[in-house]
Formats: sequence, C-alpha cells, structure tokens
Amino acid sequence: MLPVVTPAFASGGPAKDLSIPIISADNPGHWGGHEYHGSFKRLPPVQLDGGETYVEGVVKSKKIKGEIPMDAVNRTWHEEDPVRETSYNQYNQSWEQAPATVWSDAPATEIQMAPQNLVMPGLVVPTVPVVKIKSVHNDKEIAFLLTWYDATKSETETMEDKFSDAIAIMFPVKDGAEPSFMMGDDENPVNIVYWKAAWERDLEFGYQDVRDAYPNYNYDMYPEVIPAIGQTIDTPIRRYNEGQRQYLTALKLRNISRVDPERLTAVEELNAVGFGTLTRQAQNNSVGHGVRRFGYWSVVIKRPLNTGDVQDAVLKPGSKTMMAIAAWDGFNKNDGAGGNRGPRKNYSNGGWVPLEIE
Amino acid sequence: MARVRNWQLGREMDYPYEENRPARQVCMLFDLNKCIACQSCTMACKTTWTAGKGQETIFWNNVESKPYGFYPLAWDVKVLALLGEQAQPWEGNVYKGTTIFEDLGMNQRIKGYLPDEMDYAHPNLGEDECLKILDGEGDYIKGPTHKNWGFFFPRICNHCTFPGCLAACPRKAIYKRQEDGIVLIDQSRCRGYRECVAACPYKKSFYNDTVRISEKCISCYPKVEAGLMTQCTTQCIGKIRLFGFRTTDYDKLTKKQVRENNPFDFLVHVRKLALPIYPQFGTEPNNMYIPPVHVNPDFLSQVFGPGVENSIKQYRNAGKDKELLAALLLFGATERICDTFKLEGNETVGYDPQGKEIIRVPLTEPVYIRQVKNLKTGAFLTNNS
Repeated sequence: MLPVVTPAFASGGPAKDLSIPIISADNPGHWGGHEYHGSFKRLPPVQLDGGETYVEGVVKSKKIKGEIPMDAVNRTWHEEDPVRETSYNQYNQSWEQAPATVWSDAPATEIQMAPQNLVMPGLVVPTVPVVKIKSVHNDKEIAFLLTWYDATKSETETMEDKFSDAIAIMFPVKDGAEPSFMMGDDENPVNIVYWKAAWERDLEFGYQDVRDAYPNYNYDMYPEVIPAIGQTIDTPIRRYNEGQRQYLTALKLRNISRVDPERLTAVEELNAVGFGTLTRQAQNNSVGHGVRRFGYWSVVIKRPLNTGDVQDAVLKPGSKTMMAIAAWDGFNKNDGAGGNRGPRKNYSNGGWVPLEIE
Repeated sequence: MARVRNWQLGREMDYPYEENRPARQVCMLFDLNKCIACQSCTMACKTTWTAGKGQETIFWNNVESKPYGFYPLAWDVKVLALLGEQAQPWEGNVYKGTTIFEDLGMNQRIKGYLPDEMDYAHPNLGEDECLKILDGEGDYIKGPTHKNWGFFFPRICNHCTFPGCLAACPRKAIYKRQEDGIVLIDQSRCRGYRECVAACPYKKSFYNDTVRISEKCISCYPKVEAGLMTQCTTQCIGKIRLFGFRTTDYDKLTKKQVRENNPFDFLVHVRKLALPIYPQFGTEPNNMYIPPVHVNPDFLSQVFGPGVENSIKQYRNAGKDKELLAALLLFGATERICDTFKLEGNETVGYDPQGKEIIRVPLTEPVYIRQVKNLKTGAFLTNNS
C-alpha cells in the first residue's frame, strides 16, 4: 500500500494510507474505523438492521404481518447523511437507538463462502468470505436480506476491465428435489435470482453509457444517430427506434441481461441445468434493491411465494426447502484476468443451506 | 482436457474440447511485403460493422507497425511472456514449448490476460519507434539497440481451429460454424464476462461498452455465404490479401493430400510460403502471412515460427517461378472467392467452386507506349516532356 500524504489544510496529522486494502478472512483489514475479521459476529456494525439473533446452519424465514418494504436499512434513521455514513465511530453511541425494521427480529444466518474452483476459471481464495442472510415472509411474498462486506464499490460495467459486485440466491425448481448445488443438473433445474450493483446504478442514474464512463469522450458521429430529429451522439439508447437498434446487435436482440435501458429492477431470474447453461427467464417475478453502508452491501430480494411461473421455485409457508448463495467482488483481480464474474465467484460453503419457512 | 492434433505445432496438444474440424475453413492470406498501412481495410471494416455506439475502441481489423506498434497495447509481448520468459523452443517443425492451453495455473482454464481499459486508448502507440536506429537516446521504448527495420502487420480474427475464445467461454456462447469454420459470439447469449477477451491471444475479441457484451470479427459471413470475399480483402488497395477456403482435414494435411490447384492449399501447404501468425499460441490460426523479406529473421521466426527462411527464399525467387507467381497474382484480382486456379501460358485463371472462370490475370502486364502529344489537339499526354 502506498502512503499518501494528507494535504496540509486537512488535519496536519500523520500521513494517511488512502489506498484500498484487499481483505480476506486470513488478512483482516480495517475500513470505516472498525476492524474486519471475516465474521459479522465480532463486528460492531452487525446491528445495521437492528437487533441480531443468530441461527446456525439454517435460514429461517420469519412470518410477519403487513407489507415487506424494499429498504434494506431504515432510511429515516440516517438517510442523507454522507459524513456519518463514512464513519462508524460517530454512530457508536447510537446503535441502540436505531428504530426497528421488519428485519430487526428476523433470525440471521452467517454463511461462510468458499471460492469456486470446481470448474475453471475459478478463484483461489474467497473474495467474499462471509454473507449474512435474513428472511421474512407475509404469506404472500418472501424476502431475503443479504449483507456482505466489500471494501470496494464496483458498479460499472461500461469499461473494458471493470466488473460489478453481485450476489445471487438459488433454489431447486421442483418441490422436494435435491439438484446438484453446482448450478443444478439435467433432471433437476435450479432457479436463480441475481442482483447486480451495476443495475442499481442504471436505475438510479439512467442506463450507463460511454459518456458516463468517460465524460470527456468525443466521437464524430455514430451512423445510427439522426441529427434531423435533434439527436446527438449523447442521445440515450432507450430513445433509439428499432432501426437504430440494429447498430447495437445485443440491444436489437433484447439481450436484457446485458443491455436494458428500460430496466425496472436490479435483479433478474434465471434457470440452469448444470455448468454453462444459465439462461434468463422470459418472465421476471422478483424485485431487488441494494444499498451500501459502511462498506457493506445490503440487498433485499423479494418475490411472491408462489409466482405462478413454472420456471420458478414454489416456496410454501410451513415448508422446508433449501437455498444456496453466490457472491462476486467486481473489483478483485486475483489472477490478472479481471475481477469476479461468471464462474469466478464465491459460493455458500457446503452447497445447499436448509431454508425453513415459518 | 482432450488431446487434439495441431499441424502447425507438429504435435498433439491439450484443448478443453474434442477435435472437431469444420467441413471447410475460411482462410485469409496476407502478403506483408505489399502492405503500406493505409488502413483502408480498417476503415472498410469499421464503416461496415463497428461504427455504432459502444464500438469506439473496437477494431476487428487493424494494422500495426511492427515491432513496436500494438493494438491493444503490447498484446503479443504480454502473451509471449505468459508462455515463459525464455524464447519458445522449436525443434525443426515441432514446437517444444507450452501453448496457452497447457501448463495451467490452479484456477486457470486458459493462459491469458484481460487488457486494461487504457490499453485500448492509443492504437498503434509506438509506431514511430522503428523509423530510426534505436540507440537509447530519446527513445520512448527502452530495449535492445538494433538497426531500423519494420513492417506493417494487418490483423483480423484468425477463426482458429482451436479458438481460445470458444474454449474460454463459460456459457458456450461462442461457436465455430461447421460449414465454413467462422467463429461467432452469440449476441443474445453472451453475458459479458470477457473471458474471451482475456483468453484470445490475438486480442481479437472486444468488449462493447454500450451493450456490455463482447463482439468479434464475423468474417463478413453474409458476403462469404454469397461467394464473396470479406470487406477488408476487397477494399485493400495494395492487393495484399486473398480470402477463401482451405483444406482443414488433419489427415489430408499430413499426408499431403491437399488440392494443389487451390491457391490457399498451394501457398500454405504445398509451397509453405504463407505462415501462421504466432503458431506457438496453439490455437491453429487460419490466417496466413507471407513474411516481409527485409525484416530481422529472428523476429520473423518468433512471429511466424519455423519456415521463415524457406518462405523468404521462395518469395525472392517468385519472379522466375511462374507457378508461384500465378498464385500470388490472384491477390486483389477479384471480389469472388477463388476455389481453384490454373496457369495458362502467360495468364493465371481463377475459377469459382462450380468450375466457372471468374478471373484471368496476365503474369506480365503488356507494355503500351503512349504518344507524347495528342496530334489532333496538341495536348501533352505525358508529364515529363
């Protein structure tokens, strides 16, 4: 890490190390004023979403009444407070004053993650060592809150060498079946819900294009642009008509996993029957929303218990099924071939985790 | 990993999939002695296929000034470094080093690197470094001191027999067409992992920033299906390229059962004049280059493998070698794909797959002596009188 001299006007204290630490379970670092040791239980900010009761080896979906909001954290408490967001210490005194959320009483499960190295390319060391998961349902909808630590915010895919942070949860499609946790198998398909930070940014700021990644970029003219109707090289691609979209083949072909200027939510639903078979569903029933606080991503993924879609897993109240998790750190370049994406991921160690729906 | 037979290496090698050669294989021949780096091919490709939004840094065809011009930056020296610090060893025509599919690290599927975004920012950076004798004085590149030599290196996707991009794609979104060996990325299946960008040793798979997926040369397949050569071939004003189909069956190649009247088989397998680009990468590239005769032979051997000496010797003698000249004169002579050719007296005749004559080129151009002056009008017809 390179020491960076703090400007004289800032504090006059010793030089600060402003470079970004690479953190793993074996290499605890510090961020936002607290030590990070690869476990939530040893951290002060475990109360990001209120109180905390841990259960081991099982995800329990708690039954609640009323609507399930998409906010991962209670925004009324510390919203719009950029100074405090960056410093845990200023909050140290007030954790217990945090107002309760729907997540407060839901039991948490800490899932240890393993590097995917069963099929190449993979990872050598885990880049997301642990993910905390909570679940609630209200007999109609079920929601999962996934929280994990990531020192770097990676939310652009609009540059050649940049990848996005992401997380996914997986269920067996058939009731009672036990597919291979490695993306399912021929007889037993799996249902995956995938959240990505880049989509969160697309939703917040509009579909991210070349000009967003490179603000000073200039280009003479694109052939698909029609100046006669007032278009310029900065005309967003969502304004393109079908003819213009032919110049962006994937857009014309509606490869909305990658290029979706009309995106409505930051998750997509997929199915798989083994390695290399991941396929987007035609009908998306899930919604997702993620926020970042104190270096943590907190992502809520919500879907109807019974979506009515035969490609989705049916989750019934009072039943037991199972789920698995995968997580990606888009920044991590652990072997020179780019950040985490695709099979370069972390998965819930041991594969399936039992899911008990109250 | 399966074992596959790679004729360019003279041995078997590892590859993630079984050997599956297409019925016929698109192939492009380049005469590097004639390239002047006018970039007509680059612009022909760019305006035809990659002028849209997000394709600003995508050059399916580019021309580099070797030895120090690259696109993306330092692509070939970086891949060579991945194969080992020492020069790749050849014993005769057998490659003794490792390919990008062999001697892998613990989490690797293929040896490769993902270029930095800035590697795409300066096409052909370093092109001027070969214009004078490199002596370390004020040179941008600090390297070995050597006399000045250079050549222009046009490159497109090699539509390899064992593509690195295809092998690397975790989603099997890349496929090689059985009917003509063209390698394509399924634009509706790609999820933009960029494993192909990292894996392709020639760095001919590109990431589109706007649609966030990878795109690569499609070998102008709508033209090829109509029996025409690609845009970069037909727009080449130096007539350095020839595009068509080559025999790809391994047994036929090794038993010399190639078609001698096919210009590609003739130049590649019979005369061995056209050589593969970086055969040591192990992908069995299908673009073949006639090496430039004036360039440092050590450098040429590194790029084109063994056989450079034989190729240069023949090329220098081409003026007296009518059969060779007949094949070389087909370059840039027609837009139609030439299946066979024949030397007829002082003319070379090209035929399409149906055996119909499509082109007739004289080996020696007839000489016409033009009048100095138009006798009727008195206007001078030459500019040196």
